[in-house]
Amino acid sequence: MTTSENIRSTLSQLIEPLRDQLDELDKEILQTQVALAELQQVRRDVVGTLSRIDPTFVTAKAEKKQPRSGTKIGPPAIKKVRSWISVNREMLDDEAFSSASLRRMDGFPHMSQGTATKVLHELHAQGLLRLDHTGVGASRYYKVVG
Amino acid sequence: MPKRLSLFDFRDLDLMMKLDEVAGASGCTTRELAEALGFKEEEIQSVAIRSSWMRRYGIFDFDKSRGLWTLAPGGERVVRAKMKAASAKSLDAVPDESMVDVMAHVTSRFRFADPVVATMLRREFMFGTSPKSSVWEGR
Repeated sequence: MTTSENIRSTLSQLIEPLRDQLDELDKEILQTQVALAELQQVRRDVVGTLSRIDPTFVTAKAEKKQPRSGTKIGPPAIKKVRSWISVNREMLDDEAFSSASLRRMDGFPHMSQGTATKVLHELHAQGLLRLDHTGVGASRYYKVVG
Repeated sequence: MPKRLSLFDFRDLDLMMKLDEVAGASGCTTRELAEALGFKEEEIQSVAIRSSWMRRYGIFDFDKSRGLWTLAPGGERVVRAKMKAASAKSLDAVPDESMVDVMAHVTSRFRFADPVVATMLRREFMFGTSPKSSVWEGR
């Protein structure tokens, strides 16, 4: 037997058992996937039954769908602050402001601190304000653009 | 936890306008920019990393010999256009349904515009839509 034939024979001896092992692994993976799919289907059936017969039953997925807590801001609040900013533009030109400092200037009449912060976030997202810098406790200071 | 300076915290335009304000034509160091952004001494690295990315995108320029950041010509054009804010009112008047048409124009500009502007359009879309973005904090 020549050297090259020797090498080929050695390689084939190496390859054959590895191929067999790979086939075995694929079979096992497939079996596990089938078993997993069956278990998931059974779980869905049980959850479906439980949620129909037990009103107190809440799944983790259902919890995720709960609306976010906190105040939702609407277009009227945004419009109100927007017009306040445009009227008081000169006052805001020099220094960056946060929701707290704008509240002190009476920029958010009848608005809570949380709502005020959200309105400024939204005005920043719309491009009317730019984020100038951040302060202590991650407070955000904005400046009017344009 | 140290402050971050990702796109989802500070959009590109925020940084560009801040750099324009702090540096002007002469430029500013990373430390000066970090201080102006409210970052502490130990948080300077995030400012340096973000600024380097902005340079790669063609938005910032960096003078290696003096260690100074300035706006690149492409970035400067965008800042000047933003300051005029000419288009904001006209866009506000466009009904929601017609915004799809506007978006088609935007994507067309993305394909054919100057590469710096195209990158900024892509990143502005990411900032405005990604679940990681700070824009959702107002919702």
